[in-house]
Amino acid sequence: MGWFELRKKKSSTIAKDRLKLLLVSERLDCSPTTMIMLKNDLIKTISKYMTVEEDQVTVSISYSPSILTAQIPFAESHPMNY
Amino acid sequence: MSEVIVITSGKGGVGKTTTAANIGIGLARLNKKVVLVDTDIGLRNLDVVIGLENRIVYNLVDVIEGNCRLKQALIRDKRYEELYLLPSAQTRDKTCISPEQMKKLCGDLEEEFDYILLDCPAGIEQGFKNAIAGARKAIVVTTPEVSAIRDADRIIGLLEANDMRDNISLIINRVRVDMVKRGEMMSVEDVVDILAVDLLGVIPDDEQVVISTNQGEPLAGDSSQAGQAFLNISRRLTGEDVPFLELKTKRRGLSRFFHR
Repeated sequence: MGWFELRKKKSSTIAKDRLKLLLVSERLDCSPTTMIMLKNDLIKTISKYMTVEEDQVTVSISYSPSILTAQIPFAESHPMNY
Repeated sequence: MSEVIVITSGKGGVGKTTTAANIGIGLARLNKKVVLVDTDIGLRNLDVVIGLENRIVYNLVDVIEGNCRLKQALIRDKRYEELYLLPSAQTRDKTCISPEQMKKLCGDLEEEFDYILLDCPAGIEQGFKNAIAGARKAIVVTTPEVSAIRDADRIIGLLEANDMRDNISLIINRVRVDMVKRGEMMSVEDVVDILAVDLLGVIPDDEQVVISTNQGEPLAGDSSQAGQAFLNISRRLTGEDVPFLELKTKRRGLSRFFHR
């Protein structure tokens, strides 16, 4: 992200975004790097069986109830999309 | 039925002691019998915030070690008949008491008082464990800053692990409405959203708080914005349904606010 984009974003929004990321990893006792590794492993495993849109995979966590949610869209070339 | 409430934050300097003092005075103004317990052994503070520093003879550790009776260590505030202080020891450290001893002390205080307010030390070590041991409710104080909110989240996790899940409420201190409006400070909604606990009150950043601390006279219940906000918190603790103040930006020294 360039300097100008950073300037445009209000500092309260930056604070909120930073906190959200930080707290997810702290509550889970799992660093942002670990989250990325988890995501990559998920992609790798699923890809063995079907083609997925790697760029659009999201992994998120909610608290009450505590759920790990992974959204793994199929690739456009996947038969499901025909 | 008395209530034992711990006031905690994790991070230091967010206003735990000031909040404890003001809630205590607010409750005393509402004719509740209140004791403020300073559990920060080694770093005594609550006594100066409420201006009772010259009247300390015995302290919390003296009571626990049996050097004096509980009643001898309790200092009655002459301004508010129903307000008492149990000061902390200055020359000892946190390891000289145990959570079990604190539990027993809280039990003894419950026989005498409607509200037992425990001012917790910063940090998550022994002092924190002692302070929460006898409490059934917790008030978490934070400011709209990344570091304070991160620590508040950690504290909430620890309180939940200590069976206080449904008894945690939040006070957001030092809110600057002008900065929130400019998008340069997280709003009350942002903080509540992130921490996901019930909101008990919002205290505006008000220079009167500094002035009142200088004088050793907490401002709960006076005409300042912070004084009103603190009294409202005390009223909510007694079960009253008090709407949140709509905080207004200060214009040329005139503080204006009204109920929603």
